[in-house]
Amino acid sequence: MTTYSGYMGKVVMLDLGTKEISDYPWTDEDREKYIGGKGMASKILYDNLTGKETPFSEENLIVITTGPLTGSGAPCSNRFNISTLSPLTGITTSSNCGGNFGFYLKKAGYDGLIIRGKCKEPTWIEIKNSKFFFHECGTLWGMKVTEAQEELQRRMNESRGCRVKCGMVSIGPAGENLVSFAAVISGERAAGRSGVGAVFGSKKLKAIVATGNHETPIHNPKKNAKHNLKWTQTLRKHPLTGNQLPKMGTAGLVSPMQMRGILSTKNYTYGQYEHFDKVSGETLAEDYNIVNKGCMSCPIKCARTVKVSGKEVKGPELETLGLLGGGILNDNLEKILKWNYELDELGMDTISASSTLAWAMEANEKGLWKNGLEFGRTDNISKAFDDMAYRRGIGAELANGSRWLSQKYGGEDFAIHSKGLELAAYEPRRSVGQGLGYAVSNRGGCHLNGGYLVILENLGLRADPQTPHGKADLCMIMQDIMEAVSLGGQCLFTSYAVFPGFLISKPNSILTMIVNKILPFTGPIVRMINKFTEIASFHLWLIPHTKAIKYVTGMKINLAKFIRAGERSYNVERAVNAKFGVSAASDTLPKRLRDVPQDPKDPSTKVPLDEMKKIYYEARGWDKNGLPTEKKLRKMKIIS
Amino acid sequence: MVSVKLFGTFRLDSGIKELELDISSIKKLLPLIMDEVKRRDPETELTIKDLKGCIFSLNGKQVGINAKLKDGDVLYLVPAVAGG
Repeated sequence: MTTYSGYMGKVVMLDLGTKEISDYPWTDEDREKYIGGKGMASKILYDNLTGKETPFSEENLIVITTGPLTGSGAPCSNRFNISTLSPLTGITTSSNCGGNFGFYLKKAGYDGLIIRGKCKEPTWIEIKNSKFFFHECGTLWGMKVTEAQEELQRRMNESRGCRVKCGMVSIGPAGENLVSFAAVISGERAAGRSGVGAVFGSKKLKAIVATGNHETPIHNPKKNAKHNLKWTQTLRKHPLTGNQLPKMGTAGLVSPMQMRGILSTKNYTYGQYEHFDKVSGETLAEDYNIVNKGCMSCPIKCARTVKVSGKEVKGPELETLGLLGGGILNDNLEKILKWNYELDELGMDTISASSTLAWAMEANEKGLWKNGLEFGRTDNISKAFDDMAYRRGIGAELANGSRWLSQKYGGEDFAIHSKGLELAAYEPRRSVGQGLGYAVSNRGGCHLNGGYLVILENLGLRADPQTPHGKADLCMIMQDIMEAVSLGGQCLFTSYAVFPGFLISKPNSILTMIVNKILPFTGPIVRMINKFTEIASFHLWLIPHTKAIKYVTGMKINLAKFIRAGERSYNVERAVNAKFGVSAASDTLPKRLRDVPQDPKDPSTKVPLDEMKKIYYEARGWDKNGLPTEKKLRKMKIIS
Repeated sequence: MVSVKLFGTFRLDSGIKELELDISSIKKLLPLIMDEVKRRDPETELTIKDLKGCIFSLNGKQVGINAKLKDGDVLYLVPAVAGG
């Protein structure tokens, strides 16, 4: 139970083996410290995992959490988080999704769901108003994602005799076959990265369907509604969230990335692709996009809708365009749309699948592993993806990801991952702060968990992308802010509106140029602000998230507490990783990105990682081995 | 002639992908692009400020708004706005 609004007040633990269901203790003090979402999930993992568990062991937990803003009407707020031990990395991972499951999990009466154990037979679970029903899958097991979700809806309708409003998560064949980067899908949206779908599969859990009639209580409905209206207007007026993302989606990044030399090309050998326009967001919008769509309660609507084999389906994001375009030297956009659809239907992360494919092409080219995959050859890609999902032929090994493959066949220098998780399409040798972020990110090579410094260095702002100066502190503060934004249950895109619009829409103005010049020198200032964050006992108009949480929950929150919650979340996630052997040695990048300049004539075009890492650990208050000390955990009130 | 290629929302809103122009500098080029935009759509909401907010890439190298142009040059105009 809770005294705060915004929460349903219940977190439940479910053992799939014994079918035992118990309330999990989650107090108001926990809510104040972690808010919800990923921070909440990481603390639950920290308290329950010892370091001896493996991703597919019965003891591994799947923790699905929502935030207080989920279901509150705040813009872009109906997200949920899935945390677990990743089969791809062997350490903690979190995957955030914009599908409708979080909204309906709260409708069913829960803020969070913790799953342990394994089912004896393939099972799907129905949660209705705090009651759990276990159903045998039957023919559901083996179905691809859309077919499975339609079948689940049919079964729900049949059992009630009417159309049932519900939210669901499900896996496809890739999850069932334990592909290391299998996704969990909710509607058209994916908790895509790092293999959460395989953990579902290992537990023989095909799907969870939630329904009910609980309402998220709002502390101050009048102020909340007014605030949301104003916030929505701000998002709609911002050049990024109101113009670029609605019109082009993330796909609109292909062209600016090409200009800045950060578009991964030929498995990160180069940063520019000569045929980029054929696979760009502009061409996608002009020739293929039917309508832009959004997640529930989203005014941005960044998703694309395209036609594949006569069906209207979700279009590709930037990462997929980059990695299945220039990444494998393919200039055929129509094929990318098809592969993107096939990957979604199989239930696989498009980033890891594509990057693993690119590694395999290079390994083949270099004679390390004869597999028939070649840069520029596209006729065998669909089959390769299908084989990955069903673990057939070369797919049986591709399904383990690029780290595993490079350890077996050689070619670790060009296996583009960090901690086992393949990098997104941003080439970091011309965005070194982004390179640091990829390396130190808790879940591995994730652009977002890494702090997304590319937005300060190349896309939007232009703080010298080659200098390591100031990047460690900026990386830390960006990570903490983005972490805090996600805790409430909101999309990270709401954090982009933190940057005043004129800085982005007028990159050549004197003011923007001054900001760009100053940013690399702000490290000590950022460090000082972080040290004395408590001074910020107020709300800031640029970060409307704090007021939203206040109006929804009634919590006494301010900017300082909000950012500290983000920092706490990042630290507790790191503390979980420490139990599983993560240290400074794990925070690294492949040799290609660290030691080989992207431009042979310009030695600065590589990531000076060691230099930045040292400062980053100091900024974080971690030890030299990159781990939070007991003193730090105590200071952050993670342990008492 | 200078080959000018447009990207981003400006390209989508104006419907102009590419132009071939005889022009000697970027500063002189931008009003000409706007003339073409207005010719195609007299009620356009696009302004020259939208063009000034672009990254200018001349023959693969980034240049400032004061860059000179010559016959055979290829110029890309790409908005810097981004986030994904």
